[in-house]
Amino acid sequence: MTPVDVPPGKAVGPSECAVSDGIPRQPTPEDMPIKVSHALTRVVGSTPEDVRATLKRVAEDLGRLGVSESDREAVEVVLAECMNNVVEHAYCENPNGEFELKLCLTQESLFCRVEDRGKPMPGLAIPTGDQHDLSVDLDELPEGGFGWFLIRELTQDLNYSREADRNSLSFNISLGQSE
Amino acid sequence: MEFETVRQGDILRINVLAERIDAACAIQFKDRMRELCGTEPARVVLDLQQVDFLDSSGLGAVVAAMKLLGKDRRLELAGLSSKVSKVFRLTRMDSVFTIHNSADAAMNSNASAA
Repeated sequence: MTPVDVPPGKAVGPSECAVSDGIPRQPTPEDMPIKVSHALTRVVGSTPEDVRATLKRVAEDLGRLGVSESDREAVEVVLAECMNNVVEHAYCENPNGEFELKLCLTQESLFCRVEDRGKPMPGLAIPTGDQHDLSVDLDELPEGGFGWFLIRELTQDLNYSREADRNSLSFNISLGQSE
Repeated sequence: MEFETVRQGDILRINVLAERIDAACAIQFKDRMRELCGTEPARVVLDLQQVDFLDSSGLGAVVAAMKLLGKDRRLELAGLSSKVSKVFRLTRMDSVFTIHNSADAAMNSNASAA
């Protein structure tokens, strides 16, 4: 029984979120101060258009679940960057891939996991995503490389793993901490 | 991707009639900006009032558009939504662009800010 209004086949129960195979061991529900209140999984095609549609749907879902506009903005920015990276780098813009976006919403945070079967991250590590030096000449201003910086700025507990042919990126986004 | 342009004196105002400037349209955005900006005038005001969301690809495309104008021309931004604003602020790109609250404010502001 889940109160999330999502299409059949796309939603999973909260148990999937708390005890799913790849997720780090979590305390049992009795030990946890905050229970997982909503979980949803979306299967996303590996095109920018699929990413765009998914972002819109997730923003709508989170809005219905009472996540504030400011928090939804941060979530949309982060998820856009993560999913664009999968499309662009893991699947190298091959439009025939598919990946999963799993979200678990509690009162205090949104736990997110993105799983794909594309290429591993270079060096099996998350890029550092350093802040660019912007005190440069106009023609030297960066036109890319902002994605990981934004993800790192807006998330906590960022973790990447590669198991068999699967990439898994997970992180938390704190809710109610708006600037 | 739709745009609307208004030439007012020595300012070109470009209104982006799209909800999103993202990875799905960043290249198109850059190409269209090149066509629309041409070789003059010196000031171009990009009105983003209707743009709800911009990702890092979109941000890169806006930076690219500014670079296309070269050193003697200027790309100014106006009407940023809070989401779009957040991306500019977090990446510190708000320090690189002149950003106006609205396109009207931009049109009325003096070019001496350059």
